[in-house]
Amino acid sequence: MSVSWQVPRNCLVWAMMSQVALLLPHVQRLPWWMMLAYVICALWRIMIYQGRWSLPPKFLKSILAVVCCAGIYLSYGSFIGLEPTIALLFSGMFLKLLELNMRRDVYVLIFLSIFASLTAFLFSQNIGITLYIFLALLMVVTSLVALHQHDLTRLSINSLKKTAVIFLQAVPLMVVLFIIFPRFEPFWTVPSPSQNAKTGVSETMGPGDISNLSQSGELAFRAVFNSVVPTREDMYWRGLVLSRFDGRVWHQGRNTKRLFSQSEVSQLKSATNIDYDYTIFLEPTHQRWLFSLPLAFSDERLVRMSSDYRLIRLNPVSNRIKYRVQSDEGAVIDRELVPYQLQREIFLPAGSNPETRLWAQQLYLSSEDNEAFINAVLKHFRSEPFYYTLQPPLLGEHTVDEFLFQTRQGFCEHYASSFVFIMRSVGIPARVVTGYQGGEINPLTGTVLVHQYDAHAWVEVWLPERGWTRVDPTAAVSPLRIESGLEAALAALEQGFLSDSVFSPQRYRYIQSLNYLWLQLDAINYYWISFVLDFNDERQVDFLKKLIGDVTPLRIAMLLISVGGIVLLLVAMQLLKGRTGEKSSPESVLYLSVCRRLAKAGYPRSDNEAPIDYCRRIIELKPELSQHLQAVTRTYVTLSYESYPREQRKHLISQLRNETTKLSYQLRAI
Amino acid sequence: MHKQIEQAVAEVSTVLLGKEVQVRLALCCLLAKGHLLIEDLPGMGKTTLSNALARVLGLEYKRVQFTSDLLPADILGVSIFNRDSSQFEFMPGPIFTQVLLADEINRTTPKTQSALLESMEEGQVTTEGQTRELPAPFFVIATQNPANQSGTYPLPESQLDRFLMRLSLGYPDKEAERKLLLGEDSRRKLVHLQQVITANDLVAIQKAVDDIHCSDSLVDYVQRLVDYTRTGPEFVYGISPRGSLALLRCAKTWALMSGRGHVVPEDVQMVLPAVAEHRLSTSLDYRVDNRGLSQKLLEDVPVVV
Repeated sequence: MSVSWQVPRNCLVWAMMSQVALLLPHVQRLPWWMMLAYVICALWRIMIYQGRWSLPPKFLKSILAVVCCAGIYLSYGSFIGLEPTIALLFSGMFLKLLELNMRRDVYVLIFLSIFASLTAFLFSQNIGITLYIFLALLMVVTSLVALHQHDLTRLSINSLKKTAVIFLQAVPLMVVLFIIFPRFEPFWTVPSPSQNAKTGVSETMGPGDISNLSQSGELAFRAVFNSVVPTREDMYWRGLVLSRFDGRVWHQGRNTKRLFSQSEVSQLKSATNIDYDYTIFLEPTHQRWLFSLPLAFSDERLVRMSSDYRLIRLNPVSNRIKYRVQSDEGAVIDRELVPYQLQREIFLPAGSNPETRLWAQQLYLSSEDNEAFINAVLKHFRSEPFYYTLQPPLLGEHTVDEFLFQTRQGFCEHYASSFVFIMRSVGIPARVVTGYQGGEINPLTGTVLVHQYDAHAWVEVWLPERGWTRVDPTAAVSPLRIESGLEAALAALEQGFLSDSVFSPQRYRYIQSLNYLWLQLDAINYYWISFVLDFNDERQVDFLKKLIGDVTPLRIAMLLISVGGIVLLLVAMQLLKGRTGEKSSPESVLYLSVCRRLAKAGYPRSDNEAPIDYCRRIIELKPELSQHLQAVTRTYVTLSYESYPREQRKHLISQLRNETTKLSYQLRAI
Repeated sequence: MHKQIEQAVAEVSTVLLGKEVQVRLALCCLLAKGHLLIEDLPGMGKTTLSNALARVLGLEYKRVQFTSDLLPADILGVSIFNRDSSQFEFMPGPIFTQVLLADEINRTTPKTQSALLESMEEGQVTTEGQTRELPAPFFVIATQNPANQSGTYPLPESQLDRFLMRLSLGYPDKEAERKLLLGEDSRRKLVHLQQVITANDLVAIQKAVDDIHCSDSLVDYVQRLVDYTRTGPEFVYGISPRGSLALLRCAKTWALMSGRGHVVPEDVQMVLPAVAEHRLSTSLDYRVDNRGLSQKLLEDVPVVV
């Protein structure tokens, strides 16, 4: 058997640890057998290292590669898409473990690991994962350092320390590059992760949709108010307006997707007075609609207003985005309805829910006007035994009938849906609005946090002269939901909040210290988002303008060079300082000056030459120097290697100084 | 004191011609209370040197020729039944002396080699459950043939470390060899060697060595040297703390022998090859002999002034 090159143990251990670290964030996304494959590859590599097994032959490696590819294809049904590509990258990384025949292969493995570390950012860029990947990258680079360290046969923390120093030295450069590196629009679009596509409020609303959403503790968006913060009862974040009912599910109305032109919007805006000015940091929804308080205007480039007065983004929200909004809470929306709109907003599918229609028409006859009718219906919800619950019974064909007259237990979508049905059955235009209601204020940052469990559905009723008016039947049934949020409402009903998500931090909010910690983390994440992730090309230009005035390539280059130069200078100074050691003693300074003069005269002292030997060598070459050189050397040697009392030292140093001067005169004469 | 040492060197040099540096180093080793290992080809004067040193120091001298069938009892001694007193009586071996010349130590088995261990380190011998003190100044001067010669058992590192110095004599230069050929038989001259240093002198010298001053910068230099052997890629393992102590002690003795009250870097450089070479080993990537190794060490480590 031929002796083959062996990966240094220190390097191998760090490389394998870093691979595990890189794999962990993807555990849920990759198929289960990939973990098994990794364990097998890692064990095989350890066996190879211990010399028990040999490297796999070529045909076996080919088979493994084909099996991995086939497995990925079978698991995902395709090679196209984010997850299958990442799976391919990782399986390549594992299999490389079986092929480390020479140093170059380890380089490939390490570079693959560095590349693989970036894939975690395709799914999340929050500060936690960033720090985690930073640590994983530290381990990857440690293995690179360990590869070049000599003769370390054990796992060594020393390599990690060395790498940490390298990382720290690179931090200033990283900061500078972060600030000045041009932010290009991406040249290609990364396909969005398939699993996250469906979170948040969906395009339609059927029974149970929103109660499902309320099981999630995920963040929907943050809102930062530049103006006063509205009260909780007033925070109705409109998302979708649903006008078409098919007997069970509410859809968006036809012809509502038209976008207002800029001139229409500015005309609209001139008639309003702005109550609230705020910025929303929206988590990715992969949809086009945005959330805002009623009658919102936004000047963002990609944001338009639709004809049902919602904000629409031209591209789906596939990353976290930020948009600034101004809202007029009291504006009259649609003072008049044109016939086709009216038609749309009172349409009901024929033959559905006959009981409700009958009941509504009877009640309408006994009411004075529309508003009185609305109040009568709300009063009905309040006074009759209706219950607000997360687990309503299932409904059959005539959902509204069953809900109103039999089950009487429902979540907000049941109340909104039946309320609109009642309105429409007597010819009052009404529609369902979905979005979020309420939100929690983080006292540390002043931002309003809106979570998925704040999802809500309510009603807008059109009244002559007043336009679309918000009515929330849920408020009639469970006032607590609107005033204090879902958690309080469910607590009053003794139902579990977020009972399906055991790991959600919000579930344990009643523990004071945990809640505080949670808010702290949220504050950190908020600053991370607003200062790092949100540092886009516009803010970059603004910042650079403040820093260097006009942003020209020359100035940027100068900034880069000067910062890089300062860093390198500091490093160089550190290195040079290490060589000369601490402060030199006076005798050394004098003696070194003699050495310099002699070197100039053509007799340099080599580093390893001790003074007496040097003196002897020079005297052989230049006997005429003998007297003074010997005196200098003798005095210097006794001064530096013998111990003397302070007085005598002083005397000897002055003696050395005299001799040095004499010698340098003599040297100058030569 | 300095005069006596010079005289001793001169005296030994009359029998070992043209080897003044080696003689000085050997004497330095003994004055530093260390054991000496002389490695060279047969017939280079190893035995003569050790014999002469013992005589000049006025010490009791015994010689053991190590062979492959030598047993520990042959060196340490053995109990023999005395018929007159009907008792076992301990017959001390050749080790009970002041200077023991272990000739060709690497020709015997490791078992016998290690019998020397305790006596070299502790100055005592334990046989048959009884510990016996060896006489007060106790030196082992061992000679060995180069390891690549046939019939040798290389000394393990642990045992090599116990020798303060390892010297090699080398061929004499032309002039010295001519003198040797023409001159009197050295064996006869040996008998006439005078004792120059008495037992009291020896104690006084060894005490004086302790008082030699070592400045911080010199200790720095020694540490740099030692550190280099521990981290440099040329070395499989570095010099042990025992090795660095030995280096400093030898440098001190050398300073005393040069008539100085303090150690200078030249002293360290002078003794380093003899003290360090047998404690070092080259890694496979650097195929040079150990002599090159200590030379490289001296060249690479700067004497900071």
